Amino acid sequence: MSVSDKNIVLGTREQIYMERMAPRVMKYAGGIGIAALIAAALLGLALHDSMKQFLCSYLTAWVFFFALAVSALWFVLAHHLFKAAWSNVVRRIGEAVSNNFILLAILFIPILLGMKVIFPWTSHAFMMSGSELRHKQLFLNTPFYILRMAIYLGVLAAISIYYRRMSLLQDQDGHVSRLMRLQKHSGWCFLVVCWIMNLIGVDLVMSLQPKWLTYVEPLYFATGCAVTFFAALPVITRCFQRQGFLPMVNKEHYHDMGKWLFAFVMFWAYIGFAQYILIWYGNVPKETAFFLFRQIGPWAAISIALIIGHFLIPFLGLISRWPKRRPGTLVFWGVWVLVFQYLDFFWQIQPAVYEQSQKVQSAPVSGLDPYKLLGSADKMVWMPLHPLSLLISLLCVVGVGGVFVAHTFYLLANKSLLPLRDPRLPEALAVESI
Amino acid sequence: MSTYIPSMDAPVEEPALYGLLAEFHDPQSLMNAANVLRKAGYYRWDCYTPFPVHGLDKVMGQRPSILPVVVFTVAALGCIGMLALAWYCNAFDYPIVVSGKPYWGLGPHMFLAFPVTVLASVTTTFYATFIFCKLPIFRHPLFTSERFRRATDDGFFIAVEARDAKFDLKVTSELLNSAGALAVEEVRD
Amino acid sequence: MTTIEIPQTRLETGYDNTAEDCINREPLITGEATYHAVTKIVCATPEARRAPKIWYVCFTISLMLLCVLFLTIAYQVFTGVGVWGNNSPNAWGFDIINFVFWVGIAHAGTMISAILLMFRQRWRTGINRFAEATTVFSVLCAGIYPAIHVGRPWFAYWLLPYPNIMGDWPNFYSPLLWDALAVGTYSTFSFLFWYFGMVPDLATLRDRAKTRTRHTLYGIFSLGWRGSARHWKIYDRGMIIMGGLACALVMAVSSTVSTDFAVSQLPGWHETIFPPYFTVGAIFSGFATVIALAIPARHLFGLKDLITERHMDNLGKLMLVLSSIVLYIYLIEFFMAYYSGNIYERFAYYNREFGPYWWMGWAMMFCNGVVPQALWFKKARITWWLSLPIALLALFGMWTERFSIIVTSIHRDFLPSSWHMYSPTIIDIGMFAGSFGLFFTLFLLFCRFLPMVAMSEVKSILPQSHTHLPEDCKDAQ
Repeated sequence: MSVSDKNIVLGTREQIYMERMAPRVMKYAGGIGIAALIAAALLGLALHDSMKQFLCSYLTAWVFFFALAVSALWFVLAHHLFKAAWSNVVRRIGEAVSNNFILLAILFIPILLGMKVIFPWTSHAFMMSGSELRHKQLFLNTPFYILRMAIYLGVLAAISIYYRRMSLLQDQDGHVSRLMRLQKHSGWCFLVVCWIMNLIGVDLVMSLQPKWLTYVEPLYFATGCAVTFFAALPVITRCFQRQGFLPMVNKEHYHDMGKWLFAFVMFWAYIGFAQYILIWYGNVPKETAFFLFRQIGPWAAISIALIIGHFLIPFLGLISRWPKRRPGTLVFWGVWVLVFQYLDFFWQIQPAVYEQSQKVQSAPVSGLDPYKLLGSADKMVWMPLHPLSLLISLLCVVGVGGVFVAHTFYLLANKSLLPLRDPRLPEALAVESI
Repeated sequence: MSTYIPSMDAPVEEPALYGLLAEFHDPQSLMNAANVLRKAGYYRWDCYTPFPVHGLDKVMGQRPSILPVVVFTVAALGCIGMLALAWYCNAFDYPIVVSGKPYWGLGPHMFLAFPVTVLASVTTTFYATFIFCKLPIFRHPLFTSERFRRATDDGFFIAVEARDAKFDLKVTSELLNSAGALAVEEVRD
Repeated sequence: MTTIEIPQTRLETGYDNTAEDCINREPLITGEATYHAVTKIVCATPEARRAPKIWYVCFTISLMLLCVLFLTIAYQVFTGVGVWGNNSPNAWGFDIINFVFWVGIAHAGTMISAILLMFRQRWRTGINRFAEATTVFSVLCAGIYPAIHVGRPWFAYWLLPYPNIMGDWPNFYSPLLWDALAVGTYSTFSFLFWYFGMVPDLATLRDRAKTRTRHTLYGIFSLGWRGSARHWKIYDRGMIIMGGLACALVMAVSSTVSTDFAVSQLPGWHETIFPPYFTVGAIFSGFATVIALAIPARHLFGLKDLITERHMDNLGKLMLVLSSIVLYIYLIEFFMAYYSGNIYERFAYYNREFGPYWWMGWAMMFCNGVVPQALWFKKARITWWLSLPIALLALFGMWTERFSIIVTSIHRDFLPSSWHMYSPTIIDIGMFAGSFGLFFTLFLLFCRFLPMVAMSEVKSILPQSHTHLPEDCKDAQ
């Protein structure tokens, strides 16, 4: 081995190791999180709707943070799969965020306890009410659901823990062989994670409306997940930099993060458009059930807000080169997209929970006036937009998020924020974007 | 087979001086020389390389191109124009009902607007790039230099034009030589 | 204050540019990697007095097939579309299968040039020109089918919105019109992109020309390019814009093609996953084509130092990724058909694998989803006699996929009394074979007379091209 005499100075120990800040964040975030969850649960009880709104808000928040973790894992695996260089400077963030699956599995217990309230297929009578539904019972039943979730979360947890542990071990002993092993396994792990990202969408979103059929929803869900971490990454990195960490992350790296964010925002819009336009054009009742709801009343406003806020505005905002190269601007767009990605999950999940009380399952989306169909129906479908419901949703995000952040900082504490002995770190530091 | 060497018609009188052409060994020495020229305050000069040398534009002090702005404008016009056409044809001038759909729908019309937008931007990019480069041009003083034929193979050149305010045959050629040129020659039109 | 430092390490390794350890492997371009060597290798074929013998053999066969194409088209135009095997309910047969097949192949060039450009994959420089050429020619092959499918091609201008005596306009809700726009845009785009990238290389050929004819011809088409740095800057910007547009277009074209089917209500056609499905399948078949053409080309025209084993390795990996996505879509289709609980949806997929065209259904599964999984092994990616059959099988598989989607879905109508099998006539088959003649005639001419590898781009990734800014100009602008 020939070692050139010129070493690269990364910075001081305080800039690479999070020693003092992590415990403080853990204490506050964890405390606030638990308090918010308790408050949300109490509010939910006060609504006297057998916790329906609380569970629905909680599921939305859980899905949002699950999306963050799974896309962070996607990012780490993609880094190894593509043998990327630039992402070495932020890889540790991805590794820490992705290691939350055990926590998420614990946080999923309340949803399992309240399954009967939000998942209509848990009712035998409901599943016997239609010939198509009857055929779905082999897949949509409680034991199989729990088994699937256990397998999904277990596999994700195992992969994420392996990738983080190997990476940390390499910091200690510097063996390149560890990196080689991670690269070697990244192929099939990546494939498995992609499959789980897709299939879990069927369980978390599609099965809320068991009569709804669409082929691309799993992919739409997975794309929504993938957006999350790429929106969060510049925000997290910038926050760390403001606290004095990671001074070596420069505008070239932000440019790369921005490109990923832009690409996924575009891809999300593409898949969403594909789903909508084909359902709109085909007008087949078993498909239109989903969109019919979401194009009337306040939900229509949210649908349009999604098109504009999740696609049009970030598209115009991120298409140029300079916003991606200015950390401040990119952080703004990161937060913006995160908010709209949450809204996307909100829009997918929350009306679905209330949808079963409606009688519009077999109406076409276009051509007929949906208001007429809904004329005498009750207004339950707008329940999630009630201020109290919105407050519960907000508290759930703060609650799950607080616990999530606390655990992430627990993982970050006292570990190097850079893979110090990764042989490609010098290349990552010197990267230049086109 | 006779070897063909392209040449201009024999000049009647001594042609005007176009400028000085200096050859450099590699991209790095070219870049260093370009840095010297920029600092010396030259304005009408250019580097010639077989491939785009990364960072050379910065050394030469070039401004960013307005190409993206032009393309974006035309693209936006194309998009709006196509949507307007679809509206005029199918919803305004001769409304037709197709499978019970509204006359005009933004969703399906994206399938029209998108390709037209791309078509508009691509053709604009193509033509604008060459127009901004002042191409095509089939006669250029530099093409008279035998040495310059390697600019598209493995030669790295700097040409300083005689009409530059600071141009002086002797001073400039000394400057180029001291900046590391392998050879400096006069180019006449 | 203690600082953390890391050493810059380099290992000395042997000659292998496909090593997994990307820190310590040989550079991408093997052999004598000087600028002039690159020029010499690439210009050797266009400047050679004679092409390799095999080139003449292939060219003759292609020309004969091209004649078959012209004859069948002439016969069809004079007789009518009844010469095809289409019937009711199989209103669409070979014409649209082959159209989708060729459009699919046309996706590799854009993918390699544009998406890999955005990902800073420098290895793409060796193969992008080549792949773009396949794009240009296969779009042309694809374009034949809709043009003659209208039955009276001399009225093809009816597609355009022009004020006419009847006062009517095209129906802009028709996916067939979207198709015409998308494919028209794509062919214009791919040609401009290909030519745009070739201008500097044509200038190289011009400057090396030894005869007046060559000098004039290459001179005209190189537009007087002289490698000016001020030009390169604008040109680079244009290239990146075109690349970005291509990324979007590559998604849009096959998606639009998929709407020909997906806006209907037929099980097996009406699926919301169709746009990404067609796009991925298209890119997959495009990569298979590039592999299948690159293997003979690098052997035949001495390009082994520019299109190295690493290129083949990477192409193989990409094909593996795409094959996995294609397999995902196949499986999710079956899952969703089951999950729908709907008898028609379920029948469509049952029928695909166990109906009268069962062998097509299994061929597509096997050739696209199973066989390319062999590319997990490096040996299969870099050994030509393994990767070539895999690529050819994948191409065949993608054709059977289109057959399965189109014919297998349509030949079983909702009413069993309308059920009817489909079989192509000799004219159908002749036209399909003839389209290969068109493709290969153009492709062989391209190999013979144009720079097959983007010289200027390869030169820009050689190690000696790496420069650093002089210290005193960091803040200059």
